[in-house]
Amino acid sequence: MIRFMLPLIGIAVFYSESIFATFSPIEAAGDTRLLVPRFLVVFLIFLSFYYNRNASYVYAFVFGLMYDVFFTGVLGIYMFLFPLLIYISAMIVRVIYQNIAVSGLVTLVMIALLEWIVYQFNLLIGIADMNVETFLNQRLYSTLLFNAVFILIAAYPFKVWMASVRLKHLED
Amino acid sequence: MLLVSIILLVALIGFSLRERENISLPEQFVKDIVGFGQNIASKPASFVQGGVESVQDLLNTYSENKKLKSSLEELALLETQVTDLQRDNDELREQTNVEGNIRDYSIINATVIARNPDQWQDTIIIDKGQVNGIEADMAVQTAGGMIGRVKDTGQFTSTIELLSARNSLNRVSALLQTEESNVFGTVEGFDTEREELMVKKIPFDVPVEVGSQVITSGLGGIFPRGLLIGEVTEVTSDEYGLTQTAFVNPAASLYDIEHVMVLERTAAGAEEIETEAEEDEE
Repeated sequence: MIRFMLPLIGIAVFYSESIFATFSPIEAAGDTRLLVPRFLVVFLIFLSFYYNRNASYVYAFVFGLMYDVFFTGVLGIYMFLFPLLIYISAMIVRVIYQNIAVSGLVTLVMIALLEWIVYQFNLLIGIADMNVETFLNQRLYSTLLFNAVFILIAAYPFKVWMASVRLKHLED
Repeated sequence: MLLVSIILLVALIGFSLRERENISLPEQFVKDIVGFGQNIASKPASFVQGGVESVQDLLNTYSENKKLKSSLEELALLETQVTDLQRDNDELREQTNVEGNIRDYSIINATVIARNPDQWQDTIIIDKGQVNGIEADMAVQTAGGMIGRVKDTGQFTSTIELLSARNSLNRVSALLQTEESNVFGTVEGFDTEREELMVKKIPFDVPVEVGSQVITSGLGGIFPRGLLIGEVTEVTSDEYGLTQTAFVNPAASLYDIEHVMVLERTAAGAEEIETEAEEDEE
């Protein structure tokens, strides 16, 4: 049973993203704000911190592929970026002391990085035509705030679940 | 290793950006599996959402009721006029032997189960697919008006591209009902700052009043005629002064979408007529 726990949580997180996306955009502080759920990134990076890095690459690849095929229709962006984010976050935590607060902060930085890369990429292929200012005001700040709330809620349960699954594997 | 993956990435992106009739088989397979799960996952979510909305509805009941009462009287009059005109139209059609009307369509009702979470491309996903008879390029509307077209289909789900999507192929042949006559243009693009659609290629010598209704013209051969798109809010000339551009406030909300209707045009378009003619020749 415990074997299936992490994939199940992953799938639940994957579907929750698209459901939360139906609440966006909202009107706040005199402007339209897009709330982009990046819960999957939170899940994947925590997986690499508290479970197993190599397994998390596989998760990142598979979920990235599902994301590309089902939502964006442009193959390869998320499939490539999710593993890349795990790699970069691993480089960061190698040089700083790691606790759960630092993990959360690193994840938030990774979300900002992902948003920025995807934005530049969409400019390149002509899907987006936002200027940088609009991108920051309408997308990035509100998205980071939204995901910070998610990290606050989900970080501790994620850590506990992943650590318990890891312990189970070590016992076996 | 890195080099190989970058080459692979570029190849994949190039492959998927190519204009395709429909998505490839492996994609279809993944899409069906994910779509099946999404169908199940969205059910409890929409249940909760529906509950919240019905409470809000209840709170608004009194003021809404007042408004509705006042418009009800007008409605009865309008209804009799419409039936009268409709009958008149049918009789005339019969007399002149005109078959097939570009206004005719059949409806498939569907529920929105997801919105593209990364929100760059304006796409939504609905819970009906090929098994329900949905095909690519069908028009999609809500009760308010037209919202987009079917981009691609899976077995159980379809992806809808909204009118606000930035895609050079996302064009709708439109008709502006001005006071004097009908003026044609094409819906091309979305102004993200004004949150309004742009109707371009309107002849420069035709006056277009602010407040004119914009509907689909049906001349593109894909969408039926007469779907409401929106209302003109401003008219400007384009950068060369050769044509006019009208800003159109969409009639249907492009964000808060829950139930949609997918419309299948029953009259044959130019392409279908051509292929039929070719078959006849053979």
